[in-house]
Amino acid sequence: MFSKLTLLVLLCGLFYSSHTVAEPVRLNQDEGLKGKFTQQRYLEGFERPIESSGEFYVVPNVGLIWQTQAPIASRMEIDKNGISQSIRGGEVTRISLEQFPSLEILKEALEQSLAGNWEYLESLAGKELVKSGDIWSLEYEPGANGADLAFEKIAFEIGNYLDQVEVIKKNGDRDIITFSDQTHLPKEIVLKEFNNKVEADQ
Amino acid sequence: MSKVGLFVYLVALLGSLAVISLRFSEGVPVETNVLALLPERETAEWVQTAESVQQSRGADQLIVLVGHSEFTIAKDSAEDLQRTLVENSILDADNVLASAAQYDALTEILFPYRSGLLSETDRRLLGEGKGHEISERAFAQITSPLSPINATLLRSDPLLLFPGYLSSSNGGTSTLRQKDGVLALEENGKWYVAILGRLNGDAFEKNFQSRALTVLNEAVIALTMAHKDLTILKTGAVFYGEYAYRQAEKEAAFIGSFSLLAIVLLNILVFRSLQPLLLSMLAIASGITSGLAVTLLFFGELHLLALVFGASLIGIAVDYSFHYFCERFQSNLPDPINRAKAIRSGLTLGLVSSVLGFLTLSLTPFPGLQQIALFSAAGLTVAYLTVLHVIPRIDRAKSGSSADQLRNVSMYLYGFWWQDSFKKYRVGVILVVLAIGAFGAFKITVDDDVRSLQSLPEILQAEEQKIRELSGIDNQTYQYFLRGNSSDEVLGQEEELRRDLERLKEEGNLGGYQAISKLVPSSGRQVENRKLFDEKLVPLLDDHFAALGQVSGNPYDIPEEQVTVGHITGSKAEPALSRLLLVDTPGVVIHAVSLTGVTDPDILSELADRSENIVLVNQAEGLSQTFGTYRVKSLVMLAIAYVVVWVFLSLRYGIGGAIQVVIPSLGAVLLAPCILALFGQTFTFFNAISLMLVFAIGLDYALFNRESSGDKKSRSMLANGLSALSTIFAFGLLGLSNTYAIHAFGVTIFVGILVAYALAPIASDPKQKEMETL
Repeated sequence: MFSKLTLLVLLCGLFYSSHTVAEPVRLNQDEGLKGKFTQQRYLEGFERPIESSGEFYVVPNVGLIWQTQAPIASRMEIDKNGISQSIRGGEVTRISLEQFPSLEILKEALEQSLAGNWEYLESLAGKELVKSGDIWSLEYEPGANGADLAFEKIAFEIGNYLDQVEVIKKNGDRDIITFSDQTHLPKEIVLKEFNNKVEADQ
Repeated sequence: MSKVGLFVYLVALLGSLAVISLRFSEGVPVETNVLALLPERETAEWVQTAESVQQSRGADQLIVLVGHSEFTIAKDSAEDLQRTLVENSILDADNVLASAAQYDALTEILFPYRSGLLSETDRRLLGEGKGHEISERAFAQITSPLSPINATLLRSDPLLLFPGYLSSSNGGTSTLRQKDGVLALEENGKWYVAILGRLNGDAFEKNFQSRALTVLNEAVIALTMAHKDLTILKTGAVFYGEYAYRQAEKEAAFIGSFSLLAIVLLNILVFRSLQPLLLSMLAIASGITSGLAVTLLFFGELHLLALVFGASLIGIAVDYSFHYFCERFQSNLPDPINRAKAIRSGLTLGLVSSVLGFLTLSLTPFPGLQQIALFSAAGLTVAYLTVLHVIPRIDRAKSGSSADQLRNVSMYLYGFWWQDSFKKYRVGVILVVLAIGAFGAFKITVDDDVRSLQSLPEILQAEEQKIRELSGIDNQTYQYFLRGNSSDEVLGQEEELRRDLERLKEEGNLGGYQAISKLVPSSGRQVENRKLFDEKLVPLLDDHFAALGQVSGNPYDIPEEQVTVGHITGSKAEPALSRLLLVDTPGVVIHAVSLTGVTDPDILSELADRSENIVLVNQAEGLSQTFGTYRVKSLVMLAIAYVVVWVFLSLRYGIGGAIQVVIPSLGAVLLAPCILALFGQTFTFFNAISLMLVFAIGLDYALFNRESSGDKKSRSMLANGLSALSTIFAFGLLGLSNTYAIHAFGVTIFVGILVAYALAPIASDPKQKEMETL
């Protein structure tokens, strides 16, 4: 009897927990987020996807660092001025986002989704997050709103944090980025790690 | 009165009409380009050709920025406006710059040659044996989540050499970027979309100007009504040209009508008849006809400004007529032939002095001055013949008033200079005038800067400045011109020059530069690049593909030929080169390399000194120097003209007498700039040229004073007064003009003529008896 009761309590607990953890975390003004990523880039006509992995740091209103560790170490920094890529501390590329409207929307989507600012994305997509089991999801199709961008769709999967993004391009290429080990911390700590990463490369 | 004079006049007039008809039958031989008036600068002919090509292209340019906080509204409005301008033949559809179609065409032409197109960075890396860094860079770009790279590009350019090359080829400071198929920029939350194009007509042709402005204004009104917060900024020579034309029309209507009315009234009030005015017009018309014919005969064409200045100088003929008609004011009126005889000496001396002066000025190697001098000398001679040999034969006036009152008033000035009762005032006035002259002389500021002489409307300048600030589009203050026998030779020269320009950029002495060779390298450079590619990059391709997880291979085509400028000219991508490709003919090719952020022009000059085929050009500075040089030269020649005239007049009046006759004119020429300086007027090339008229008219006033005595003196003084008034009405009022050259001419004439008239009685010799008639 006691064991049956225990099982019931545990099941109830599990049931309860599965319905309470599903509310996505939204970063406060004084918080930042760090974690890991794996990206698979599927290119039309290529035998297998090009894979890369590494760490990311997001500080809302400051920027995003995308630290690729494999297959080669490189860093991408995104701020309001654009995208800068560097290898061993030396800048190799700089792109002004004004030139590429598609990239600007992708950048916003990535930053806002990592920060948990789903209202922004709901407004962009013109629809709300949909819950399915433990997972929330949202699809943004720019063509539906009349916008002519280089991608057809961005699909977000969210648990506590953003778990996966799939970007489907018009030419059939697609990217799947999976996030893990996300931790939100006080902004100062993430900023400190963020800056340490920058200094370590220089 | 000799019939020979009449015969010479008729031959001259008929001959002139024949020359003019002949020349005009081949088209209007009138040059309107101000630069054609200037002497050939000490620059080579090829540089002048390149400058002239660039000027005409600059005049064709139209820049419009359409701004709105919503990018799509700014873009749609700009596209609407551009379509309207193209459909109405205002913009040349094939020359809309930096369009998406142009960019696509350029990519399509260059892409097959990508293995020979390496950016400076890639060349350096390969030269240093760091090809692997190019591979790593490609990886960083490929794996970026925000990469615009797609499978198609990666399959044919896995090292991503071409995107790097294209982005490095843009070395300008323009903030405009390709966005969604248009050129756009963002500032303070507002998007500006640019329309950059070439006009489909002549920016200085009145009909095209008014059509362009009408179409543009109607389109702008429609767009701003549809979107309240829309901002539209525009600039181009067509707007400045239209403004100048409108301004000139307005001024011509106001100043011209006022001048004409004043001169007609003056004639009617003094002579109680229109006949003197009409006969004066005959003298002027005959003079202008002959001046035009002689100039066309010698120069083949006439500059519009030479026509204006020359015709003004022939206006001196009005003085001749006034002297003739003032001879009517006698109680016992002599017949017209004798009246003409009475003024012949003054007229002849005035004519010879003016012609000598003008011919001296024509020795200046300055086409503008030469044309003005020849035009005036020939014109004045025929006007002189008209007054002495034609007008007396038409003049039927038999009796008239003696105009005692007017003559008495005119004699006050003479009395001031020669009556003892005015002696103490005279000394005082002379001292005051000398003090004003001395004080003014210290205040004289010379200004040869062509930019301040242009008198451009502030509203259009502010709009242009705003566009330049927003877009970073420079106005090519400094640039190099490079010449060679072939396009490839010039591209090679550019590449050598660019090595130094890159160094100057690193040192902070240069902001940036644009050159054709950044887009199309010389064939030698392409061969070199391919060699570097083959030797340093091809061996890395297998590893690169392996890291990408693909089957190895070499997707880089190696076409046998190289890309040339000829592949781009004639294609949709041609506008990308048009600003820099100035001349491309067999045997002569001239390119420009435009520079921005120049801090030390001397360093740039040193680079140009290494080859006779490279020059550093700053058109505004060059023109300013020319204005300065010829301001000084015309003043020197004016001084020589005074010496020549003084020697000539010494033959009749002796050395001292000739000095006395020259003083009023010389005094006016010296005092006018000093007095103008006190009113804040700068002294420019245009003021210096205007002193020529003061020189000639001042001499006439003095000579008629010198040549008259007794009762005739009052008639001369009256004629001088009428002449001064009519000159001020005709030319002095031009000082009200907003066009700087005309304003400077007007104010100099106004002050110079007033002073010359006031000083003229100094030339008299009260003790001298009537001189022998010439």
